[in-house]
This record gives sequence, structure tokens and C-alpha cells, in this order.
Amino acid sequence: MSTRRHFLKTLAVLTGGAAPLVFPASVLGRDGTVAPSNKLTMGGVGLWGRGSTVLRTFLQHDDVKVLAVCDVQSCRRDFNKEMVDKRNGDQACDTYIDMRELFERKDIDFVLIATGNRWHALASIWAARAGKDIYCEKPVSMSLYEAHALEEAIRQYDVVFQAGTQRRNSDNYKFAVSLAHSGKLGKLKEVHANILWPGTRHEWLPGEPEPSPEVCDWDKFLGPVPWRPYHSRYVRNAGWYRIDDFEGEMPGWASHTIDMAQWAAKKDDTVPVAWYPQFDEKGNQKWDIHATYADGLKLIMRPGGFMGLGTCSLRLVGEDGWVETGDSSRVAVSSDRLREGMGVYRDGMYEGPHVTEFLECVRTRKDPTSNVRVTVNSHIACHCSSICWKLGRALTFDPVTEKFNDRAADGLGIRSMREPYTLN
Amino acid sequence: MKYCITTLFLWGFALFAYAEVNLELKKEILTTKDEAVLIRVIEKMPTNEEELYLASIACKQLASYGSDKAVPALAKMLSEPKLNHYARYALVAIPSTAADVALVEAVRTLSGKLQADCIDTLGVRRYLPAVPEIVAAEGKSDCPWVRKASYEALGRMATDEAIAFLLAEVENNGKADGLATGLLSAAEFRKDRAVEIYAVLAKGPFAAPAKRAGIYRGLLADPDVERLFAGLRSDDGDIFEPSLKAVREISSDVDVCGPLLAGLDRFPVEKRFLVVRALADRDDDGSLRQVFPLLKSWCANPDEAYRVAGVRAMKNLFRVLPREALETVLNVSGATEGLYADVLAASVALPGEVLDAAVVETLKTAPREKLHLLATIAEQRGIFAAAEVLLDLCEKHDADQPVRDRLISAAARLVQKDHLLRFVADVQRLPNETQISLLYQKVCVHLPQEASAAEIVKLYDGEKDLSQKVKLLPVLKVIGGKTALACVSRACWEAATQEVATRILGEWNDPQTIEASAEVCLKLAREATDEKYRIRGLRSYIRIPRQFNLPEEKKIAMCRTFFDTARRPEDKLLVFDVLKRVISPATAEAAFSYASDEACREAACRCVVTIAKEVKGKSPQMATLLERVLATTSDEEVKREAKILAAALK
Repeated sequence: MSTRRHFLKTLAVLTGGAAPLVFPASVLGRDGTVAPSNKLTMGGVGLWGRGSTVLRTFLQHDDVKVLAVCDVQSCRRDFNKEMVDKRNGDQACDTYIDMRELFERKDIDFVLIATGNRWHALASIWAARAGKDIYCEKPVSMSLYEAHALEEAIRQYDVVFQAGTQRRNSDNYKFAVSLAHSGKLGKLKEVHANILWPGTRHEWLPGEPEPSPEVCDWDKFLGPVPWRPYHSRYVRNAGWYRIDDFEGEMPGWASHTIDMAQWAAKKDDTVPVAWYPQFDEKGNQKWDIHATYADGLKLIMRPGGFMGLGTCSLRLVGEDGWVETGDSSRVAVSSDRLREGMGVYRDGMYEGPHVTEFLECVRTRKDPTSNVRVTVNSHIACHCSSICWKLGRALTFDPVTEKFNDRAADGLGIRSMREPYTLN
Repeated sequence: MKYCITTLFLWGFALFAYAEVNLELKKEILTTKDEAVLIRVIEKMPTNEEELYLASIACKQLASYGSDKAVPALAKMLSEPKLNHYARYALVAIPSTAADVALVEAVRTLSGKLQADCIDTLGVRRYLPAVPEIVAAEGKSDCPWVRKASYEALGRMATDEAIAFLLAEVENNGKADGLATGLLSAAEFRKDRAVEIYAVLAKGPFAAPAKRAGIYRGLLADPDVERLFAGLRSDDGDIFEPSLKAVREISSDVDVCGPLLAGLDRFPVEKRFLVVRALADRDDDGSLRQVFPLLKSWCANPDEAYRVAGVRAMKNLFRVLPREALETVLNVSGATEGLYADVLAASVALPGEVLDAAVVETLKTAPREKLHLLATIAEQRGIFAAAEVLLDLCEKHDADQPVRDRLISAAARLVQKDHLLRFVADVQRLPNETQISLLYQKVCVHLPQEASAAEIVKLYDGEKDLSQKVKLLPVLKVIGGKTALACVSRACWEAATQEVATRILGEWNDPQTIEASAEVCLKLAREATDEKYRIRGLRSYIRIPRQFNLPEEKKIAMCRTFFDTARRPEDKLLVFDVLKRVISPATAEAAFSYASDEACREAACRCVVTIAKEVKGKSPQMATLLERVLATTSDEEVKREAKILAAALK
């Protein structure tokens, strides 16, 4: 974080010079403009698909200015530059191929990281080492080792980190969690999280001639994953999924639902200690995985069997009732009486959208809702689930040492990298 | 031409046959736990992409199932640029010193990037005997990657020798890539030397982020008050800010509050605000009680900057000294915009109903600029009593869009059944359909379903204006439940509302009444006089088993009902869209049962094949069914696939 800029902004917040970000300046009787010295400056990395959507959200904030974008593909660099220049009303947005050059800029306060999953942890760690605050799309890690390294880096360099898990800022999920925390469901017995296929792809496309690095820097596109020959399908749309050959779908999706399950269960500071794969009556392994916390609460991860309230389904079952919700925003409860007198919020819940909260935390230096500790724990749970499923046997896990009782499982907790794209 | 086609055919066959062979091998590699099988794959060094691909999978499996037996084959791969990384996928995880020894040997013999990669893996494994080797490698190499990997690996190893080496590097190579990271890692692994290391980072020739980390972590590890003072007095933000952060987080075992408060005069005014605020942010009741008298005096200071700073710092005090904090902030004079905002923001944490009542009263007469904040406070505190006031204000500020939007959004979260109708009336006046829909979703999250629906139905039944009447149907859709469904169902049969109601029925998404809504759809499909609504009812019906999580038997039964009810061939085909999503012999049988209908024969056969492709393992039942498909279909492609699948599933 550049020093003078940050000092002024922090001071302004503390002594009344800057309004809380929740309220647009126009409402507070100002003319709608934000003083340049009060603007937060931003760089973006890997802004395509989801990244492009999140960039647009940041661009809606009057007090954010995007100074630079980075992508290994020229078509995407140019596209994002055009979007940003149009918003800024100039041609000044810089472009980079190597994100480390963007991170080194002293005039950038924070970065948005929306690359392919394989890059998230490493890019975040690099950004932290450069003193940048970080909004990183999920999943934030692809192995237990990465999760640990990420948390360590954020803590060491003391930067603000928000994972793009979003749903902790959504009303229906907040309501479901509020219900659980209020005690109206009684003692929680089970928390159910919707997951996708827990396996890992092992895809390989035949080599094609590599384009020039200016058009597509293939080495940087691969980043920390092992070399494989270039194929154009990897770099189009979400083709990079084929390259995620370590952990696949599990952290990408379950990072949302397991995160909320942990939140509802008040287990943000830990993970389950026992993991069990599930089998059907013929002995075929199912996608479902069950886990148990130290206090006996069950975490049930399953691909289906929910009520159809949308994707990212979450169900909380207590002794006195249950609540279920999903991305449709609808909430179903075991009894309508559970809703009576219930508001959406409880202590500590942030009012407002995910991105807005992040920007506020950049100013106030507070931890946002989806901070690194909370996020890393939910990702550790994802990785443990994935490992349990791959091995197809019950495992025990120590949340303190982050080790299994099983050597093969520990072997799956770490992914080797290649220079210069290493975590150490 | 004939030659080309023949050649292409032969190549295609060859590739197909080759692909078949390797799929088998791939499957074996993926499922075996036999290390010997995996070693055999990698022992033969890959010479083409296919072999490289299979070797990559074998290496990943060896991470779980490999032992020292796999090490020789893996070690050979370390010197190959395209294989080194895959080999290390396994070596990093194999719990045998043979892996470490192989990596050390590679460090001795390799150079450049490959050497750096091996050093990196030794660092991850924390093989401490490798320290001398790594130090030697770094000394001999002028490759920046080797240097970086060495610093980082030695940092993780953190032996006295490694730390000595890193510290010695500081003077000459402070800004070198990896050195700061290495030192920080060393401090993590060696708490006994952390203070010393952090001191070097704080003062050494490092980039600002590393220095800040050194200062911050150093103060946490060794909370020396004089050093803290020095840091807080510095004009260099890279020293001041981490020191300020440390003020918040130094352990409560150490009294930082007393000395800092006693020495506050040593700071310029603007820094005093920051320091005191940091003290008030500590998660430590003792500090909060110590700082409260000062904050109280600031809240009464004639200088507004002091009053603002005092109030802003008060938030945590509500937890520890609630009554005293409340009295203090409420007595603050000269409520400018900033101060007012912070008084109320600080009060969010205060439990109890007294403040709730005060917020409601204040809302009634608050000027425009304060409404946003008050609405937020009401929302966050869950002050249901504020709902009516918010609705009054919405109407008053109807022309002021930002204010109106904020108020109605807050009201959505607070409105209870008693004010629901009024809320709906206010929402209906908004011009933006998306906003309307979102507000209904918000309000329905927390409202009791049946009671709310009853209120809306009452309004609906009493509404004479048709254009207003139909606007209530989407509200019922969002609410869901039996009462709402009954009303929508009635509306489907009334000419004036049929168009809107049947669309709403087709979008019904309350899973707790979805089966009941299916009955309504079916009745419409069978009995509506207008064909448009019969088709709409039919399509709304089949959407349900496709979209919702129903038992398999139920889905099959609904498909049969649908099929028997549908008249048009293009409608009948929709059953396959449902059945193909449920992978089981029962759904495949159900799909095939429709093959007797001429218009659906080929679609039925294709559906069976689609299902069969997803069946895991063996299934004689599916195999038999596929043979029936073979005898039924005239589509050559379907025949070909059915034949292959039947053989595989038998």
C-alpha cells in the first residue's frame, strides 16, 4: 500500500473527512463527485468472464479508479482497457502481461484477481508481498498447502483480503444463518452444503503452434501448473478448467456452500475432524461426502436432494426445525412460526454488497466478512472433502496441524509448482 | 478422391484404435494403488505427448501411493525440462528420505531453472540436511531463479546455518527476489529468533511491504513500548501504519494503553486521534476502560475534530460500558453531519429497546441527509417498529429517487404482516420491474408465508381495478405457499386474469407447493377451452419434473401423464428432456416405452442411448434395453452407439 496515500485516507475516515461508502455522495448533499485524493486506485488481473462482471461492479463506484489491467492474452487486455478507458474518459489505463509489474506500482491501492483457479493463491500472495489489498475470486486455493501459505502471507503483510464468495452478503443466506444463530432451530445437528463432482479432470489436448507471447504468453498462462503443449481451446472461454489437474470442481463450487455451512454452524475458526465417503447399495461410491466436527455436528456435502431453491443450496437442521435456501433467494422453513419476529441481520453482519464492503475495509483497515481466515478454513474443508472422495476411505484430520492420519491423504494436500511461479 | 477417403478412413481407424488402447491404460493408472504399475509407466521415458500425458497422471498418483521404490524412476525425470515438474508432484509427497536424497543430488548436478525447481521442493519438504547444498548451489549460480528458490527454501528450513546465511545476504542483496520471503518464513518457523529477524527486516534495505511486515510482526513478537512510541512518532507511513496496527493487536498481557495514553502529548494532534482510536479498537476490556475517560472528554471538547474523533472511537465502548457510552454520545453537542452519522453508527452495537425507540422517533423528523443512515441503523438493529415510519417517508420522498429507494429497501427488511399491504402499494408505484421483483424477494425472506399470502389475497379479492389486480399475482408467486397458489389457481380460470395468472403458474418455484401446482397445470392442460392455455398448462406441467428435485418414480409417472395428455408431437417430445437427466435403467425403460409412438420413436431411442452413456459399471438391464433400441431405430449413428454401449454394459 503506498504510504502517503493510505495515511491520508485512513486519517480522513477517522476524523470525519470521508463518508461511509454505503451512502452515495449525492444523498449527503454533495455534488456527487469524489475528491481525487479520496479515490481508491485499482488494478485488475485476469478479467474475463466472471472477472469482467466483477470489474463492472467496481467501475460503478465513484470512488474507485482503475489504473491498469493485466492479462496474458492481448485480446482480453485490449477489451478491458477499452472498458476502463471509457469509464475513466481517457486513454490512460495501462496494460500488463506480467502481473508482478502491476503489483509493483506504488500508485495502486488494491487489486482484483480473477484469473483461472490455478493462479489465485499465488497471485494473491504476490500481491500481498507487494503491499496490495486484494479481492480474489474463489476458490482462493487449490491445495491445503496453498491455503496455509495464503493465510500466512496475508497475515504477515497485513493487507485486506476479501474472497469473492459473495453469498455472505445475500439476504436469504443471512436470514438462514440468522435463524440458526438465533437458537430458533434448536441445537444444530446437521448442516448440508450443495457440491458438484468432487473429482479432478485429467484432460489433455494435442499441441498446436504456440502464438507469440505478446498475443498469448503460454508460459504465464500455465503459471504454476506443469508444462503442457499449447492448444487454443485452453485459452478460450473457460477452457482453463481442463488444466486444473490438481483439484477440480470441489473448491470452485463448494467454497460457496461449505463457507456458509461453517458460518451457520459458527465454525469459521475450524474444520471437521472426520471425513467419510458415501456408497450406494451396490457399493459404488457416490459424490456425497459426510464429515463431523469435533463437537459432533455433521457437515453433509451432497450434489442433489435439495428442495430446488436454486444453486448453492444450503440446509440447516436443528433439533427444533430446519431452514433451506439457495440462489433463487427463496427461503423454506419447517414451520412458518420460525419467521415470526426474525430480521435478516444479526450482530456483525455487514449491510451492503460484497464489493462495497471490501472498499470500506480498504479504507478502515478492518477485516471484511469473507476475510482470509474464514475463507481459508472453508477451503480447507473443501480440500479435505476432495481428498476423502478421491481416496474413497474414511479419514481423520487435525485442524491444528492440518494433517491427516493417512499418508496418501497428506500426499494429496500439496501441489508442486515450478519456478518462478512458486509459493515459497 | 477414393484414395483420400480410404486413407482418411484408415487413419481414423488407427487413431480410434490407439485412443482405445490408451483410454484403458489411463483408466488403469487412475484407479490403481499398485505402485509397481505406476512405476512401469514412468520408467519408460515419454517420447511423445500421449506418453507424457499418461506419465503426468502416474506421477500424480505416486504422490499418494509412491514409496522409495518409485524414487529412482522419478529422479531420472528431474533433468528433463518437460518432466521435472511431474516428477516433483510425486517427490514432494513421498515420505521417504530417498526422495530428499534424490532432490539433493539433482541440486548438485543440475543448473538454472531445473535446479531452482528442485531447491524449491526441498524447501517445501523442509529437508534440513540440504541446507549446505543449497547454500553452495546459490553461491555457484548466477541464475536469479536459483537465488530466489534458495532464499525461500532456506527460510523454510530455518536452521541456524540457514538463518545466518540469509542474514548475511541482507547487506548486499536486500532487494533480491525471495530474500524477504525467506526471512519471514524463518521467523515463522523459529519463534526463538523471530524478534531478531523482524528487526533486520524492519531496518534492512527491503521493499516497503517487507519492512512494514518486519515492524508490525516485530512489535507483536516483542511489544516494546519505546519502540512502539518511536514507530508512532515517525512521519514515514511505512513505519507509522504497521506500528498503529500493532497497537490494536498487541497481546492484552502487555499494557500498551497506559503508556500510550500517558505519552499522548508526544504526538501531533492528528496522530492522537489515530492512536486513541487504535486503542479503542483493541479486543481487550482493560484497554477500553482505560481509554474511556479520554474519549468522554473529547466528546465534550469545543473543537469539533475532537468530538468527531471521540465519537468515532466509541463503538467498542458500548459493549463494555454501555450506559456510560450511550450517555456520552447522546450528550455530544453540535451535531454536524459527520458527527451525527458517527454517533448513530456507533450505537448500532448497543443492545436494548431504548435506543430502538429513539431511532424511530428521530426518523420521523430527520432531515433528508440523515435518512440513509437512520434507515441503515433501523435495518441493522432489526427495528420492526420503524417499518411504518419508513413507509411514510417513502411516500413523502416519492420524487427523490435515491432516498426513496433506500427507504423502501430498508422497509423491505422490516415490514411485518401488518404493513405488508401498504408496502405492496408503495412498491407497485415504482417504475422499475426488476427493482420491484427484488423488493418482493427481500420482504418474503422473513415474512410468514401463509399469513402474508392471506393479506395479499384479501387485497386481491377486493381490488376492482384490473390493472392493479394482476400486479398482485407476481407478489403471490414470490410469497409461495398454499394460500397463494389457491388464489393463482382461481385466477387461471377467470378470463380477465387468465393471461397473467397462467404465466405466473408456469413460473411457480416454491418447492413446498410445487406438486400441488402441477395438479393445477394439469387441470388447465386438460380442461381449458382456449388451446393456448391448454398448451401453456401442459408445458408448465412438464417443467416441474425437469426442474425440481422429485423422486424418480414421480418423474416417470409425471412424464407418462404428460405424454398421455399432450396432443401435439412437438409437445410429446418434451418428456425426453426430463428423462435424459435421470440416469437409471428405470428412466431408460420409461423413455423406450414411448418408442411405440411413431413420431417419438427415434427420440426415444436417442434418449436411451444418452442415459446409457452415463451409466457407470455394468448393467445387464441397460444392455438388454440397448439391444431393443438396436432393433427399433433406423438411425445409423444411434445404432452404432447402442452397439458399443451394449457391449460395454453387458
